Amino acid sequence: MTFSRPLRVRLVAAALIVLCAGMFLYGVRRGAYQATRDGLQYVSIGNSDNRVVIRYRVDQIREEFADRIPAGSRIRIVAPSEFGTFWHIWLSEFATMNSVRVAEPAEFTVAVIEDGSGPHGVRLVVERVP
Amino acid sequence: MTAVLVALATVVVIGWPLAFALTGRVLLGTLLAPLTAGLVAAVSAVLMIVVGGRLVFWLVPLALASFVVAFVVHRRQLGPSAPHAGPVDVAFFTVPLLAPAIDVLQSPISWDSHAIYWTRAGAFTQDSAFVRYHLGDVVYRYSHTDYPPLVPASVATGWATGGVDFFSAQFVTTALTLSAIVMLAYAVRVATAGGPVWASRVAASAVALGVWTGAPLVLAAGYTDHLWTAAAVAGGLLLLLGSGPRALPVLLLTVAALTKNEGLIAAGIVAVVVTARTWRAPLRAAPVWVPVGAGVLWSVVGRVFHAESDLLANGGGERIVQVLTVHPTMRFRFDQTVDAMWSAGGKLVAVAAVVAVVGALLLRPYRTRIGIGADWPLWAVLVLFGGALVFTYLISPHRLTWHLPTSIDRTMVPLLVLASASAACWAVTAVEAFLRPSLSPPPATVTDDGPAVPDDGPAVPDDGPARFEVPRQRESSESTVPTTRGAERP
Repeated sequence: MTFSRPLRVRLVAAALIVLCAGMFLYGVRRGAYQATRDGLQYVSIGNSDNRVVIRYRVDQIREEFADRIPAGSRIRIVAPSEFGTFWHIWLSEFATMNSVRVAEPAEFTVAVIEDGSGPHGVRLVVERVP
Repeated sequence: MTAVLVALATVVVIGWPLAFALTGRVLLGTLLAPLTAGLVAAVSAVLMIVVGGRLVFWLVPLALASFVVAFVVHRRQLGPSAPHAGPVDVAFFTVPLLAPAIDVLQSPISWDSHAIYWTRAGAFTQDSAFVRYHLGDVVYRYSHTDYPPLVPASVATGWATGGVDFFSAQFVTTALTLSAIVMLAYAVRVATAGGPVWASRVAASAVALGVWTGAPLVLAAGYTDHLWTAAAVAGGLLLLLGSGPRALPVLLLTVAALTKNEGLIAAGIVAVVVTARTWRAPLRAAPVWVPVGAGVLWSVVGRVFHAESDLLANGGGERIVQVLTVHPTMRFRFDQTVDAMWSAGGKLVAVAAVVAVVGALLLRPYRTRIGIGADWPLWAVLVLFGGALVFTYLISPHRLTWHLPTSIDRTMVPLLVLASASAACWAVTAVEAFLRPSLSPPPATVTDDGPAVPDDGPAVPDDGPARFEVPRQRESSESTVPTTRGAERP
């Protein structure tokens, strides 16, 4: 079976178009879609109340440690009574790193200890709630 | 929310006249305005540090001066209006971005944003003595005091009218980033303008959305990686694949060089590649070195006031020697770095490379026919920047087990965007080949022997040869790349 030159060109072109489209769709799924979903979550929970923000970030921490902490218990944050901006910032940074998709709720305690051992002067300790 | 709106309005008002004068377009000028305002703010910050005073004292006269320059440029009509920037094109550049851009509503609590850019913006709200002390203060060494001032100065500009507010800071930084992404979409549109119009527009939208592929959740959180990447790649595309005026790409590369140190490296690499392409007439490449000069000037100012790069601190010279002598430690770090790069999007770059090779082997005449410049300069930039990235991780003073996981998804963004830009150009070429597979000269009615037919903007002079006259024209020389701007098919 032989193909005419225009047909060969069209086959190659179609293959490249499909490859490029797949590449872009994968990129959008991995990037723009995630950002849209994340943004919509903020729209739905609001962000004017710090307690809401903290609760949301704790959810992310739960995802972070889902592979280490058995499911079944509550999250508790041990931190200064005034949950200051610094803790806030650091927790969010820690929580957004390498987030792990969580299959079911995990339970653990998150404690922030100011002992200078962490990369930014604080350390996040995760313990299982008894 | 009032503070956010006031800050955004301030940035747009300061940047709009110059942006409009550069583009000759109201819509595109408005979208470019945050970047021109950022440049005005960055120059103000440098003058504040070097000469003295407060940021606002420099910002106001410089903004007024930019208004005068814009008026003169516009009055004398020193350049044609930017092609391919009508309302329909602008809709393709912007509407798809609205969905992921909603992430700007996230709480402004990201680490780098506060620790680096907004802390420095806070310093810029003080006087010059405070800023000078801040740059050299060892307490703030962790916050990269050597980073260029464009973003912090822009945020401080917004704060000057709207008051200090972290949501305003996040919105202003995101406005700069989105402005750069729109310019990237515009650059893709210009580069592929000789192909089918709809394919060119879709490609522009796709590349713009592709900027989110790496580290998507920090793009609108006050980080600057996507900002300098989009600006640098947009400038590079306009220079390497386009043939229009150089003012806009030089401006974009200057934005990149004054946003982050990696942006300066990228601007330098683009300048080297452009100079290599025009080696027979090196003076033609001179403007491309302006962004590099601006970035180097900031580096000198930073060093004078004792700002220090973390990469060169704590035995940086020794680590460079270890790299050059291929020390066993460096081999281990090299393997770790390459593995991380592969996991953080290297596969997408590999797919784009396959597309580029297949396209170059089988569809090159069609690419030449629609006037898209050669692909190799983009890949030269990609390879050189990838090498610089690996080198950076090799000489990093940090443990790679910490440094790579906390940064590789962001540092890979330039490679991903360059690869997607290359793939987009080949996709438009493939559409052209699919629709018109014959390479024989078409009937006279198809040639560009009449006036240019713009898609929705004013006619642009067709300064290249007729589209089908030289189907196998050389791609490697800039002077021989045919330009078919304004001669698109509907």
